Amino acid sequence: MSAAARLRRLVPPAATIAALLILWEAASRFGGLPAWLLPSPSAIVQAGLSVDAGQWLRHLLATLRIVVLGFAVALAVSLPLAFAITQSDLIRRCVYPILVVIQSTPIVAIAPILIVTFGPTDVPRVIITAMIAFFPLVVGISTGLAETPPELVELSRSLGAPRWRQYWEIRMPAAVPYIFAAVKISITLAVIGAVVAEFVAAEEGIGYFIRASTAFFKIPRAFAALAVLVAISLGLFHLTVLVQRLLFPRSLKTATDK
Amino acid sequence: MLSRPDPIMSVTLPAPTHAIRFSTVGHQYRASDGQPMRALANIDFTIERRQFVVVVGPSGCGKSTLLRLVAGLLKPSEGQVDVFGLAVDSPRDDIGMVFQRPALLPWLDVEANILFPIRHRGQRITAADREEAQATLELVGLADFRKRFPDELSGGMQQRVGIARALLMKPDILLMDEPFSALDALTRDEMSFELLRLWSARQGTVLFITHSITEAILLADRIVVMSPRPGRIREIIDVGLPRPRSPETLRQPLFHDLADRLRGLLMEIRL
Repeated sequence: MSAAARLRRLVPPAATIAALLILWEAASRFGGLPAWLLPSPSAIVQAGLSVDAGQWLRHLLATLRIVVLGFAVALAVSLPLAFAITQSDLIRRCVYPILVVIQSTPIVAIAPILIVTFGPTDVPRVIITAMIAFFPLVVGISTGLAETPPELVELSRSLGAPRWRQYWEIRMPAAVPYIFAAVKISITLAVIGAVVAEFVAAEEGIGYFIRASTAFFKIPRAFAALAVLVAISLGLFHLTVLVQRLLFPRSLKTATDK
Repeated sequence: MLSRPDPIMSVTLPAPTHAIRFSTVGHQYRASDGQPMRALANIDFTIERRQFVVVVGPSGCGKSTLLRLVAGLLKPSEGQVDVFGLAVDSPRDDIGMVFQRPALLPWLDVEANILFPIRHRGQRITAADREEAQATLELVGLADFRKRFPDELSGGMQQRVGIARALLMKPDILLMDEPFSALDALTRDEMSFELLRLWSARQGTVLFITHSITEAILLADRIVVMSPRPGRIREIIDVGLPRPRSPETLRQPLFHDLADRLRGLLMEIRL
């Protein structure tokens, strides 16, 4: 796709968003939409700008730190777990029910417990973030490893290659599209996890900032913080896409062929 | 001091003349419902060196199992499979395999794909290997596609890459599991002649599986006809057609006689 064509594809969604913002602004100014219920876009922008840039940066970096650490832990746990699940049916049958139980537990409800047991440090926040982020990773990676075309696995076996080579040189690369699809979901979930943790107990971070703003009825400022969170999520999502495009350009091709 | 016989000098094993020998081989596996299934029973035959042997038979007659026993991917439940006089217990370096689907790695270009077996066996790829790869690609008519990726090639070209990959290791035995079954009829015939050309240049032993009667007669020195449930050898046919074979071969009366006989046999088996 050419650059001009790509730009043209952006026009309809951008126009839709612009129209909604104008409608929203108009409803606030002339339609009698009360500011305490839903502040106008311009009020939100103003509130956002009124906060010191250094303060934004501090909260932003605090949240990003939890997101990145939590996601890293989730990835570090789910990679070996996915290998084990793919490798042994017994392990899969042992572990899967536990994974489903963890996934079914509302992490928001665990957060206060963990904060109390671990104390108000980064540790419980990272754990909460990792718990929310890791399920799609395990499922995605193990699916990718298991869905490796059987003839490729047979090729590996017919060459008498050791099991680790089969995983490293065939199953892992074959799973790359699955892994990135899982990372895209997981990384945005990690942002939710970090904010949930910050709601419960934190002295900094965007989640904390939202709570602090609402405590003083600074609704436009809370909305501005919300916009920053959306930007973080979108940024991390597109960073993932970019990494995949730069490191594994072929994997995008096979993904669209499917 | 007692002089012991030198073990190397005194043991004079005659070099085995056969490439592959099946001695009363049977194979069982457990089906998904847990019931034992007999895939092969009482398979007993020998493939001489440099022979081109084709196995035909209906689905479920154990053709692929037979191939996987030779490849060392499966172990026989009964009997023994020998390759060059030694029982097969694991995959061997001197056996090359071509699969039904080309089994190419989509993230590697053509050259990296055919060099992959070297890397996957944990050996370093040398400049000589690269030259050999280029020569092999020329042999299969893909010299200009070295840096292309599999999804940029047609089905026939992909299968050529699969064959080049197997040939690069200079195997003494080539195992081919319905390698042309996914190709259209025209490409299929073309590939058969191509394979015969390669085989006459290298003179290895080939064990080839197919559903196609034409393919079987065109390629084989001997055709093994199998019947299903459990897979047994129904008949072994010697193809007396002269080599080299060409599109002309398809018009010879002997070709038609063999085709009729084979078709008759396969009909009988199906009934």
